[in-house]
Amino acid sequence: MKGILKKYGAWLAVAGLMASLLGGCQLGGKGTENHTAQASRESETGKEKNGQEAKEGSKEQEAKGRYRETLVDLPGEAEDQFVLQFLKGEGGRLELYTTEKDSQGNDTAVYQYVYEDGTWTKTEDWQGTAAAAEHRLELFCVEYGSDGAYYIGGVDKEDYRYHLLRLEEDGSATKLLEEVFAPREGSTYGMTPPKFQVLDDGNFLLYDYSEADIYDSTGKRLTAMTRDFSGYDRDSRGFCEGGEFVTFLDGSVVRYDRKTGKIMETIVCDEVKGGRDGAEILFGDGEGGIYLATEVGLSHVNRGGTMWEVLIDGNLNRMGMRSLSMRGFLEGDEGDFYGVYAGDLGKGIQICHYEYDPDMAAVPPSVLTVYSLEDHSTVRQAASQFQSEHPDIWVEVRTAAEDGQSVTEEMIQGLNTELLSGKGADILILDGLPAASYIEKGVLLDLKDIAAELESSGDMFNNILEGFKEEDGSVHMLPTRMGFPLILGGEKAVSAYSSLKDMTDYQGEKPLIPTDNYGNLLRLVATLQYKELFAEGKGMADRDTLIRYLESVKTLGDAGGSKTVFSQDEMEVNWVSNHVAPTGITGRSVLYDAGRSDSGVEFMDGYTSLLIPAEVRNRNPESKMAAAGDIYIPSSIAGINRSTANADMAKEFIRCLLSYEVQREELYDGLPVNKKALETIVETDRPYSEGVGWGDGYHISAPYPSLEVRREVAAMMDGLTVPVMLDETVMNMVTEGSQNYFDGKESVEQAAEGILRKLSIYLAE
Amino acid sequence: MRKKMIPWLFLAPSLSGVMVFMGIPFLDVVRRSFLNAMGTTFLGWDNYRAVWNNEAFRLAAGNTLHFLAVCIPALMAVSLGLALILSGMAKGGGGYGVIRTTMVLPMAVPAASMVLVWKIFLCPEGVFNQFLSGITGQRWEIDWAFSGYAFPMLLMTYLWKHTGYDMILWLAGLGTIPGELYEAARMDGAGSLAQLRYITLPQLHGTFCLTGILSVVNSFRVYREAYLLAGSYPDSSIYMIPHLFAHWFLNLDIQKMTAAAVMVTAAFLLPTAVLWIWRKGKA
Amino acid sequence: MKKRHVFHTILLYGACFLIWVPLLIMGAGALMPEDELYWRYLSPLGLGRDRVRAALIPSYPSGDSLGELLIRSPGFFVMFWNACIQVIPMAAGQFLAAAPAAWAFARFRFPGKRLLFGIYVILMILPFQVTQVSNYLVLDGMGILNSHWSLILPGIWSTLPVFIMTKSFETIPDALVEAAYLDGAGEFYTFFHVGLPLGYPGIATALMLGFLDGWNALEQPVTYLKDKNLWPIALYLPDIAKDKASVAFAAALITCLLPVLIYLNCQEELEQGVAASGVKQ
Repeated sequence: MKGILKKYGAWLAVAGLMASLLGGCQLGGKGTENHTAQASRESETGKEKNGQEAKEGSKEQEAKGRYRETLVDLPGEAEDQFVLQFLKGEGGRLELYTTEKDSQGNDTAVYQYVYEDGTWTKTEDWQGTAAAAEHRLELFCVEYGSDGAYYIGGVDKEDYRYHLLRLEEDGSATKLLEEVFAPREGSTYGMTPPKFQVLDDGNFLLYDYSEADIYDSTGKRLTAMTRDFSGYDRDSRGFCEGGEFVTFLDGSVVRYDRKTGKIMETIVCDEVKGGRDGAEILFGDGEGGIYLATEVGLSHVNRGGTMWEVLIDGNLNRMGMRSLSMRGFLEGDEGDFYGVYAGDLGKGIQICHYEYDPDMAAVPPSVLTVYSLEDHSTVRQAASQFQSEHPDIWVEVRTAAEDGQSVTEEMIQGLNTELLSGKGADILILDGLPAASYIEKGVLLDLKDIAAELESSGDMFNNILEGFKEEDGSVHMLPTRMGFPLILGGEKAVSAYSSLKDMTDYQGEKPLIPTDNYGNLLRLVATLQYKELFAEGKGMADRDTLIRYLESVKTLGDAGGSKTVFSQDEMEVNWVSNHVAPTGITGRSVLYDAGRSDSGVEFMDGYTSLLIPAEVRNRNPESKMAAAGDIYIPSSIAGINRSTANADMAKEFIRCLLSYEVQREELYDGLPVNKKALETIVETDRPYSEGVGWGDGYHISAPYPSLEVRREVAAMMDGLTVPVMLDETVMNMVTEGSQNYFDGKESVEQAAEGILRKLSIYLAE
Repeated sequence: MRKKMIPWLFLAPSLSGVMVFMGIPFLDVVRRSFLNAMGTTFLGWDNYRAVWNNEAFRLAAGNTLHFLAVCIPALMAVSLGLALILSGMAKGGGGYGVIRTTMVLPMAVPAASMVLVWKIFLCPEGVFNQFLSGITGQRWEIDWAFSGYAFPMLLMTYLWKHTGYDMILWLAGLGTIPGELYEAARMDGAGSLAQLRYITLPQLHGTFCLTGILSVVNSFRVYREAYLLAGSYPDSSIYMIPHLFAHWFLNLDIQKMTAAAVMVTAAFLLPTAVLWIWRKGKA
Repeated sequence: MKKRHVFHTILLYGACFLIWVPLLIMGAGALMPEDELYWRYLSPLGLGRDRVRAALIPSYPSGDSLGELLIRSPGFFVMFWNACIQVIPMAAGQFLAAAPAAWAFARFRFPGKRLLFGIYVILMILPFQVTQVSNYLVLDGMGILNSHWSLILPGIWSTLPVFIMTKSFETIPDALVEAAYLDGAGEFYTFFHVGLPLGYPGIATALMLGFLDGWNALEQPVTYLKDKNLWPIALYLPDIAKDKASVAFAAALITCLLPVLIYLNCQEELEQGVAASGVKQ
């Protein structure tokens, strides 16, 4: 009896488990189908790669037919302005609204451009320009209502009150819903919606951050609907069509019924949403379907459907270009599309037209594969650039660890399996990979012809190029980005960084290095004194060197009260965290400025990293700013797989990675290695500022450094000759094995013994 | 004629697949052991020499043998003991079924799941240390998995996982011993210990082989637990051959890996071959 | 006698206790809300250093973690089904290929039997990394890489089931088989009607183990499956243990639920095998 019960009980449990998972399927199934759609699309293109026939099917693309992207000419002055709005206005014509900004980043004027007969022309004396100026408005939004009138909305630059104006035919502007925008009792500021829409029933939909509310013309609120708010530049994702409001909620697309304010449908879109939260653009197709434009591409879902069909692949054109941000996307009149893009800092408008070309190959016939463990913006940018120059080549960038996943050994083993089988991607981005082994085993192609080109053209920093040449003159990998440590402090302190001994001998009022966790300190010292500790002789495998290293780190750490692990309270008091940076460098010059140490090291991997240190130096006139000897840290290091079938194409791609066009884009992933590109970046003024504050009232606010300072730092790059690539395995062993020593539970000899035991195994392998 | 073919017919489904999916790869392994990593140069016995002289290999091989020599007897003894006790209890009474089920559960739980729980016991702030601190009054803060005690810890997780399963195998084997033998022995005045020695153990010979070999197979799997618990480069007492292979593979040293693999295989073949020859000699 | 009995009982229950405690901790962890997990298990989760406060029962039972996994992570669900798609056909295939072969090894004599069997055993022991690259090449040559087949086909021909089933068939008394021959049964008939039923415990065991192996396999999916939406559930755990620690326990629990449930269900059959022969002392 019991047995029977058990047997059925077990089956019941299995059934229950299945049911709950199937229940999850209801919600997740859409995700599954997305997976399938995307997967089938990807595997289809993969099959096409191998020259097999493309299958027929409802979701698969056919062998021919692709949306061709063409750049549309804009009037010269427009190209330097900022995008405000892109919409269909009177008579369904395309309209672009732009603003001009002053050096503080404030709007000075707003313009309208109209697209008619294939050209864009600026509307002379657009009514809105004057209206905005008259009311001192910084415009957030322009809309064309179904009543045929134009509406503009923005904040008064002086009292920061929002006004919504309807532009009347007689040239005047009527203020609307003033009561809605007036500050509530007790508040200084009222509502300032980043976007609004004029509905066909005369009501207004106001996007109020995490809510979208409908107000009637008397200012009464009719409905409130929640939505996602990402903080991304005036997040205004959503549209109204046919009694519905479509927007994002909890990462999925939702349809609201505008009358009731209730959600009618949720559509999961994980696969086509892309990674830039807040940058997605939603618009309707006029028949209840939804378009979603993101870096993944342009996707469409029918009314009542759950599967997204990708119409335009973002990988193949500007939609997926890292250096651009999509600011507007619309459907044209003939099944074509228009997209508006802005470059870095929002400047540099580009408008593209997407037209279906039935004769164009659905997927470019040739493929170049690029493999990297993690995502590298420069690589993606080069892929986009390369594809725009070679429309018949598809650059497939494969990233092993997606979306914040951590890199695992299995991933590297997977790559190695391919390499040993004589396969693998054409181009390898070697960050995090055992590059030395690859070179030793002859996995990488010799790039010395490219190196020779670069040397003679002088495009690349020769000091960096030299560092990647091997003894026999061959070059197997080249870095495409780099960064270097920047030391800030008093003169005596800065000069103490020249050797390990000088660092430990340093005696000053305050510790040389500010408080930090030992994980960082170990790496910091290893990086700064790389030559002494690794490059010469046996390096760390030598017992005396290891002991000297550990003792030095302890001395430096003790002086500043460093620990292996900080508690929450200690973190606040000491301005530290338990996070360990790969180079051990975490912006510490503020601690110097605050008087907690005699120097601090910053990681100079882009001019946005220079703001704080430059300001610190301004505040401390007797301080010095210098590179740390001749070391630098290369990143996004590229090499070519010897077994590639497309050696020439691969070499072209490497050239593209190092080209001026790609290198000069500020992608926040490192400094360029291309000299001309660096110059351009240096010469560009950016309206940036940065501020840092800590609990006890310390505050520093830094403007973008002056041209002089920028040039000064650029000049430092000429002297950097030693690439530092810390061996992660060794660093992990050292960090783990020294914990007890730093905690005072072990002697340095014991710690060294433990580390050496493991190290010797590693070296013996 | 047909009679001779029959065994091969039965074998066909298995043999065909094994040759393709196991045989060919293994031959490829042997081939690579004589070449360099990328397969471009013939190196003769160089790889074998290099591996034989390799310090890391010696350590790993030694540890692996050590683990086998300790854990297999331990596992078999413990599981056999439990099986004997269980089979001696009145059938159906005392929760026989529940005990059986319980003991096998650990096998079904993947290593990755259990590692979290092991960490709860073994980390410096974990249960073991708290327990010991409570008893001795001293502060115990050993990170067990990373200390010199790593070996016993690994042994413990291995036993936890496989004891139940081996116990079931023993029980199945015990179940095939005819009850009459015991009856006869008792009539002859043999006590339980004598029964054990002269009836039970000899009859379990087949199960002994089965359990033994399975334990060897499973002991290689212990790498997964060791890796999840103690990382890539654990304490030298539990640094075993799979660790080394994983590292070699990471660095594309497949020539060393294949040579070592062939050597390890030969090492297993050796005792088997010796046994076979010895048996043949006897017959 | 009584004392002995009590001692034995204590040993047995002691063993069970040792088995249950870790399992309960895991189960309890699956039912804890995030806060409690962080309060109790900060160190083991690798998020900090704090005293471990182990518990067999959650203080604040919550279905949050389970809910997040089952309902809000479509990826998890997909991985579960992938594992089913990969492992169940593999187990079925193992039966079809291994059972006849095991019968041949157990009951027939033929030249090279010992050698062949020895080879089977060796192949069983080899760790995956050894043949990893070579396997990859074979699978690539067959064009089945990056599909479920790349896991199913090699899995079917794993030699472990052959080994276990052989041992099981060997225990069948010769008398029964002889009897079948005398009755005029042919080889295949004997296999189907005598061998399979009597060897059932061994077959069930072999398939059970095969299922478990496939369910928990890590290296093969990572190497052979490029598309992440083909990944089986075993790959979910190592990933999340670092990132979303709060669902680690819940994922661990669910991952092992199916194998456990299947075992529980088949236990009857296994028990029958033992009962049939009778156990006395």
